[in-house]
Amino acid sequence: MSTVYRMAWRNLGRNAKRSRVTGLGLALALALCMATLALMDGLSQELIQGTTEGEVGHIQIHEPRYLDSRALRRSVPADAQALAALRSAEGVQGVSARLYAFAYLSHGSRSSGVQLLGIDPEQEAAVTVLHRKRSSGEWLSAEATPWRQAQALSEAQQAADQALTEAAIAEAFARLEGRASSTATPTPAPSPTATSGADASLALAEQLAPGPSRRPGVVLGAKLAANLGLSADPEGRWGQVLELLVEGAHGVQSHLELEVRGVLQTGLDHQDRSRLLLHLSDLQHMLQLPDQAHEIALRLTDPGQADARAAALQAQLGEGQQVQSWSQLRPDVLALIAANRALMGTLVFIVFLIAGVGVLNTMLVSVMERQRELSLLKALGLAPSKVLLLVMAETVLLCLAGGLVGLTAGAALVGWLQVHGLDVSRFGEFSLSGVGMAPVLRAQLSAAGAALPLAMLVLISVVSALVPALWAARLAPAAGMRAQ
Amino acid sequence: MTATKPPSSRPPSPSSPSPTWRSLAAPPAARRLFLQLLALLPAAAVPMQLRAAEAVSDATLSQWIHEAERVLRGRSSAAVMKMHIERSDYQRSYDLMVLSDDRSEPGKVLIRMLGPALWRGNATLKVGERISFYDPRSRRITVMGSSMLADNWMGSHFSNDDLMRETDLARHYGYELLQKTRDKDELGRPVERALLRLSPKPAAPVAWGKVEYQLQLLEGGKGASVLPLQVDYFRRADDTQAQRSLRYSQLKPLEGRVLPTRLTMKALDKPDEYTQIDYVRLKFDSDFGADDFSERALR
Repeated sequence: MSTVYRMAWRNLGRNAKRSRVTGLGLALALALCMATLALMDGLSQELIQGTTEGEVGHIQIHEPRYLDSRALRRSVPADAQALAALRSAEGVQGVSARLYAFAYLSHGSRSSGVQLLGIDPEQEAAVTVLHRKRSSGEWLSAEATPWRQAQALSEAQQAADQALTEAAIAEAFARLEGRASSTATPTPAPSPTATSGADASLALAEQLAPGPSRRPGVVLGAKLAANLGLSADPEGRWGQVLELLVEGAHGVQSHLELEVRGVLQTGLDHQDRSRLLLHLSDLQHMLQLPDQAHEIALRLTDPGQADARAAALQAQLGEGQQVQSWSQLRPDVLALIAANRALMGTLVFIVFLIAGVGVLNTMLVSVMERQRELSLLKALGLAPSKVLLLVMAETVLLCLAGGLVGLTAGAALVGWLQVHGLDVSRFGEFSLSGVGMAPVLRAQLSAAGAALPLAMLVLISVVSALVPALWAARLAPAAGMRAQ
Repeated sequence: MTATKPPSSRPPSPSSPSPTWRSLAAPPAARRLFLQLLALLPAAAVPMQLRAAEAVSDATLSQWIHEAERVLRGRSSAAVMKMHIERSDYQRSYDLMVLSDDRSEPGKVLIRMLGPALWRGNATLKVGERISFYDPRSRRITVMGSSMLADNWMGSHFSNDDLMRETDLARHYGYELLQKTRDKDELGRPVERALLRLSPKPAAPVAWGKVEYQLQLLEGGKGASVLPLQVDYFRRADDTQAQRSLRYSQLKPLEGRVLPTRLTMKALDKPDEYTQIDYVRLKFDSDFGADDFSERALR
């Protein structure tokens, strides 16, 4: 048996130049396919990581109908006890409660609709890397803004409130009558009592729904800041005052002053254009949703366990809350990865189909050149099956040699891409399925990334060796020896 | 019945006739008279049609809706009302003063909250497309576009659109009279009740796929007076279940007429929830000045 391989190896050396060129072609095909697949894997990895670390986390909990309607009152409990219970669950690394709302933000004469996102900065940092997206100024401070305690009205105050309402109705009536008479009675100047009435009314309102004791600090998207005409002073400090009009969970608008702390750049246009980050507790006060959250995001120690952990948590929390893993929340990301894989598989196949034709051509020429020699061997009694084996062995050895070189070169190339990456920043920022991607593509070497092209190489070489091998095996010795 | 042709099938107006039409037309005075007579015919035919429901003209139906929609509003109005909101997670009552002025384009509405303490002094002003909110606690006015029209007003079941009357049922919908019955109203007066189906015109900027309008026609000494009874709003044209329904009740003498003084808006997917408006006082044809609907007036 080893004689056949030794003969095959020596045959390859008889036209060393041709064998080397073919082997090099195979090596190149293998190395480049490996690098491409590794880059694609790196992209998929980053897509998953960007999805989970950027915003989604590994698992999210919502009120079951929240994602359909995004209604303010569809919230889940997020008091200290509920969060501690989640945090102590098995395999959970971080737990972050979030609150969302839409509001109207203005600064001077400019205004914009914004999406409010309330986060606890410390908790959020354990789940996502949102804090790393700050591009200027400060991040949200860890402790919440103190809000004065709301107090119910005393009986005397209720009576006073009633009296104020009646006075306001009486004044409205008086206005109606005044309007109806044809002689235009000038509106009476506001009397001192009316002004004190307004003050008393404001004092009651302040007691019922007190504001924060100082302006809550916020971080807003870079483009939003630019659209509102905000910019940092030369020392990089912000501190401008913004006006927010927000509708609370009970459907009532309220005004609030906020102070800019810093600016955020996620690379995602819609977020940078419309997002306003503030402390969870501030937003809970503003929306009148104490200890509630619209979304609780979890980070796991083992991301691969996301689906299993989500199912376990769902069983624990019951029907009032919906637990979903990132792959259920973002099926588009998974679909994108699957589509990428299919595309790359097709590409590898095409590359090796071409390489296979090259191998076929080389071997066919090689066999036809050795027609007389092969005929002589057969005439001396070498069985056709041995001839077949000889030619097959030559091809496989050529492919293996080429494959070995390709594997080494491919590993080196992938290693370089893993460390240095492929800089695509000159094409501008880009995002896939709403996940902002790094400007440098980094390869990710995986066993599958090397095994798939190698397997293709072996398969293609065996198939392409069959034609010349069969031709050689069927060669009639007498006719072959007569040939030139 | 040629007399009940809709107004759109009238001859072209004198301002835009074709050359041949102009040369063949009667002298202007005679033509105007002819057109006026033609316009009068549907109105003259109304008492006759009350017996044959299916023969009421579009113009008449449109006129009914128009009257019913304006019954509490007139050309300009001022009202003091109480609003009570009943929701599964909160109940609330407001005292409101509402001024409206439709005597010129754009229509103007000002809602001022009179109580209780948490909202006293809050005001909503709409002039044309522009909605402004005033909050006395921050002394700020926030201006919004018409995109806010569909939002609920201050947590009630009425939208800004309902309170500000941006959508004009009489103008944006086509009509069909479904049935007409003789009945007695709340005060025992003989009336005719009509049920109309309103379908939005193709390009109408409206939120509802179908509206069913119930109204009553009272034959009094001074011609028929139209009062709204109930309006059911359907999300899609083929829905059988209305999304919400507005009921007019509590007929009382107000401003020299008998008018419904209670409006109840129900969201039908939540059977226990409603918002009720009770008119305490209503005054028509107030002579508002430009200043009454300015942002200065909010403060």
